[in-house]
Amino acid sequence: MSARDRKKTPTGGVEVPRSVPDRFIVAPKTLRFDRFMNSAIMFGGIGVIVAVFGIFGFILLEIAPLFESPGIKAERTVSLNALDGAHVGLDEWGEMPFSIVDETEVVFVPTAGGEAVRMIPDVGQSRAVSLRRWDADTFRLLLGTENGEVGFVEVGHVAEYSGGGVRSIEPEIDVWPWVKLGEGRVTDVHFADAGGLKLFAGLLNSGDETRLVVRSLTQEKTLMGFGDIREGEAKDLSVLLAGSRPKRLLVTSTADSLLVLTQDDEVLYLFRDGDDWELRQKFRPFGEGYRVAGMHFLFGEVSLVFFDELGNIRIHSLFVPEGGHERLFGLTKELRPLKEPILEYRASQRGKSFVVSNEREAALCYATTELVRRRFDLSFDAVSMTLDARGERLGFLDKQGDLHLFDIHDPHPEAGWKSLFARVWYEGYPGPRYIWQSTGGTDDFEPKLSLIPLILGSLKGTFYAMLFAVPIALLAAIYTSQFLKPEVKRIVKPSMEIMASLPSVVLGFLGALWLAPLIDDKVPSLMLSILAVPLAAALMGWVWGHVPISLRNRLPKGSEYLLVAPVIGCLVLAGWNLGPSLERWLFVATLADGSHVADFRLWWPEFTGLPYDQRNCLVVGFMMGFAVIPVIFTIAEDALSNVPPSLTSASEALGASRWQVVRTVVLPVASAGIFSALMIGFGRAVGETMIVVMATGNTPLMDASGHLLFGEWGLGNGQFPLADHWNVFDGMRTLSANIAVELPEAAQGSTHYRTLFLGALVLFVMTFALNTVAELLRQRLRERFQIT
Amino acid sequence: MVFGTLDRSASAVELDASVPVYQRVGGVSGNLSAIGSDTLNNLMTLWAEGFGERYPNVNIQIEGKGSATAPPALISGTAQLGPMSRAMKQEELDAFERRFGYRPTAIRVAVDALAIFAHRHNPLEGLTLAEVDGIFSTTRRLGAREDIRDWGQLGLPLWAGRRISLYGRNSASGTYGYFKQYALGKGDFKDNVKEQPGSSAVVQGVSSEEFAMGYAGVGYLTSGVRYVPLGQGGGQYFMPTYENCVSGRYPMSRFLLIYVNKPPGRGLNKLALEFLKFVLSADGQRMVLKDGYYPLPGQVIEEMRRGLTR
Repeated sequence: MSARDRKKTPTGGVEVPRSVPDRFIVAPKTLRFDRFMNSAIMFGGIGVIVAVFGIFGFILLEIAPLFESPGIKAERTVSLNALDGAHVGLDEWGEMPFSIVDETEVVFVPTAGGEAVRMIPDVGQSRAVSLRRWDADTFRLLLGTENGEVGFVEVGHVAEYSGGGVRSIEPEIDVWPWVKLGEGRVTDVHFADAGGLKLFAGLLNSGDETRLVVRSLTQEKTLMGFGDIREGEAKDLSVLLAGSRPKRLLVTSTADSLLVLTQDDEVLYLFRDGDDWELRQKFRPFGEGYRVAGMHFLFGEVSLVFFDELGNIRIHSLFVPEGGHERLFGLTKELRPLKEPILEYRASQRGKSFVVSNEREAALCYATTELVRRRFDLSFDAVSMTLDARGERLGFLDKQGDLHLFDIHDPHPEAGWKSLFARVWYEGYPGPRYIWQSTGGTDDFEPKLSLIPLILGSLKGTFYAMLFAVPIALLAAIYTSQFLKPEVKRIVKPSMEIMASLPSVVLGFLGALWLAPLIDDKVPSLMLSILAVPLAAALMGWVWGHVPISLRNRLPKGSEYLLVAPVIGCLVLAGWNLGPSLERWLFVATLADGSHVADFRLWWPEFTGLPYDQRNCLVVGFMMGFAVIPVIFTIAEDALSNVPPSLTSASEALGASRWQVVRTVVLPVASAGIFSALMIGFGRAVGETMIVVMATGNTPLMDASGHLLFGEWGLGNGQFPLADHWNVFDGMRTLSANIAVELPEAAQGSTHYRTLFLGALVLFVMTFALNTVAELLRQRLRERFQIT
Repeated sequence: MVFGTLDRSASAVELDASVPVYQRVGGVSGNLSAIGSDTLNNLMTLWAEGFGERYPNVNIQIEGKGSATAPPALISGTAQLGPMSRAMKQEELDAFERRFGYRPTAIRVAVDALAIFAHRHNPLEGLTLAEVDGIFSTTRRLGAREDIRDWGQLGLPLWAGRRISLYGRNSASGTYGYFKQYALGKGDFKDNVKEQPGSSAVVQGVSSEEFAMGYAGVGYLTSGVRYVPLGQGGGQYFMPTYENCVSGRYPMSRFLLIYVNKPPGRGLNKLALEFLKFVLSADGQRMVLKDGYYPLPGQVIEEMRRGLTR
């Protein structure tokens, strides 16, 4: 203040007498230091805020692309001069599209310009080809003849490198030697190659009768590769059709099952068991009376995509129904991507995306999320469509024989609100589920990225850690600050704080290797031991109350623990040793053969219907408790010790007992501080990573029925509400552990990588929201118990 | 009926006599970094030690968190060697090709069998792949008739009512991916398979729990666990012996790989080339045996050595 006043002093030459004595004027050095510190602290403070927002912004930037809509843009038009009725194909580099009409010629045209390459497949002596079927997923032109022979021409591309490392795409053509299925005219054929087993399936027409015939080829597989191909016998499966007239065939790439679409729109699912075939299922994809216009595989061949004549799509997937024994097809998804009926369908060979089109429009869809990612109109009349294996480039052949190429940019089709936070009906599951299973060893794996099991896992882990830590830490803090002798307290407090410095990896390691096997078969012992602690304390309290005061006074104030501790120790030990007896008495399980076994691990699943696992919440709760207790203890103890002695002395002077003082004066005054201690402990527990990674199995558990929290609104799979998720004797996977376990493998920029960041954001938002509420509560507590 | 007994003595598996002994060359020095498979971790360390004895000026760093960490490391150039226990996925190949314009080269370095481990007191005779699928997966793609949760369902009446406690690898691991592909028929794991950060943690978990079962590379056998013989059905079970692996009768044998960034038409850099030559020599393959895996057959070694210099 004075500095400013002096500056304002008028300088009229006349010395104005100072209104304050010299000794009150602050030295300029101090002021400069003051100003410097002011700005330094401000800089630091703003820096912290900027850093926090920076991290927040970085996370948001990583997450944002997950929710972007796909981009599709026209790239170029290549003149293929394709003939009428030609099929087109595109290599995965998008450099050598080709057109094929029949087995006589394949024409490759480089997109970059240059000579067209014509290749003539060597199909042997000329045959009366009765059927040509283009399999767009494998680039095979399947052929069938008038006298029951089948074969195919396969079109492929290989990348070749010259000495300088320049890449060129070389077209390739492979011809599969003719295989005889039987007598008759081939009306449809399909083929699958599962490595050791290959299968041709065909429809043979003679007169007004159509027969279904399969012929398998086997090839021995060793570690070194494949041996010679042996042709098996042709097998007539017409009996299995039970009179229905087959129209179209699909063989799964495992070569062990066959799908037959009949003339009256029924689908038969035939399954091979050793050498025999059986009819597993018969179903109508669209119900009675509706036509099936198309039947195709989705990549991975676990799902079938059907469309009707109106443009509706239905996806049927193979799964074992609830309580069933075999995998059957069931309707899982419905879509209507186009305005007009669908003519063409192409599936990506890298994921569950597919494209459908007709002459004037096309749509990119994603099967897992049941979404039409993007619908767009075409400015030409499309007669044929192709999608490259990577699902990144789309080509339409128009009536003039030109190929219109489009780029698809849709890097994260798997993400979205629905797949991240809602139930999704994945392939192979009997119903919609919340599942986290992010990676597989193959490309056709369907990523399951629900964050719900992880969020619940985090909550579960925190809950059990707090359940264990809070009573111990708070009671210890109260006892240490209010009852314990100050000399002892000076030892206890620092030792507790040293406990906080135990690295969590060590705790996790101990939990997994020592504690989990130790308490695995000693749960009853553990329960009795835990029960023994408050029991011993209460017992000693009662006894102490009946001891004559003269005797009580012999023990110095604050040294009572010397008496209680041995009793607690003895009772805990007794409880531990009585555990097996309790187990024999209470926890007896009845086995299937009627015999009885006293084993808690058997009794728990039998009694509750919930699983028992060695790496369970008890272990994690214990180990996390070790990390959380010191934090809560130290802060709570500080808050309790800082209650002004004037208050406690006053109450004691008024005749309150030590316990009355604590209960009515110390606790309310320190409540705000204790609350902060709990919140900081909570924060530690939520974010704790290494203990959870090591001591649990990282099992992203969900209620088996796929319901959130309440099972069927009240009951889980077990007999008790909520219990499925909160089962103590089971593991969990937390958000933080998930990031630690999976981030090293996630390719930068992939959906998986970004979803892990989203997990981090969810964790952040969860703690942020909770801390805000807690802070508001704390403020109220502080105002209420303010000492004036 | 179980085929094959496991003899871990040195004479059990013979190294091919045609495999050349490693010849030291001059002018090899520098840093080499390998990031990838945990299954190959011990083996890489052994090779690095052996290589370091021959070339004191070479510094090799090895990080093994899982096969899935290898492709990103090769792409970003932080590693020259990418040890993997499964082949790269198309997606990973695509990403590599997008960056370099060509595909990475895979060098086979050892034979491994993926073994199912059980506690050493476990009396199980063997499992079929369909049973393994029923035990580990929710999707049961290999045709298990029912969900197997209980030891009683596997024909152990004394253990009826005991839940099978499952241990497995974390998803970054190639072992996880391989198991998913071959033992689960590309299906999904149950959510109660305890994912462990390393193969030794899997074996450790199984050895500390009587009713447990887990999968890991065959080299991780300890005294606390035993192999469960596997079969395709018909009551025939095969132990993961060398003969059963090479003949393909043991259903889950595989090659362990090291991926390198080798531009087509050009050679590898000298240090990486010499390291791989060492791995593919009699000295290197003897270390494979020492670590509990199986050496490559002579013809594969020859083929790989040709590929290195092509």
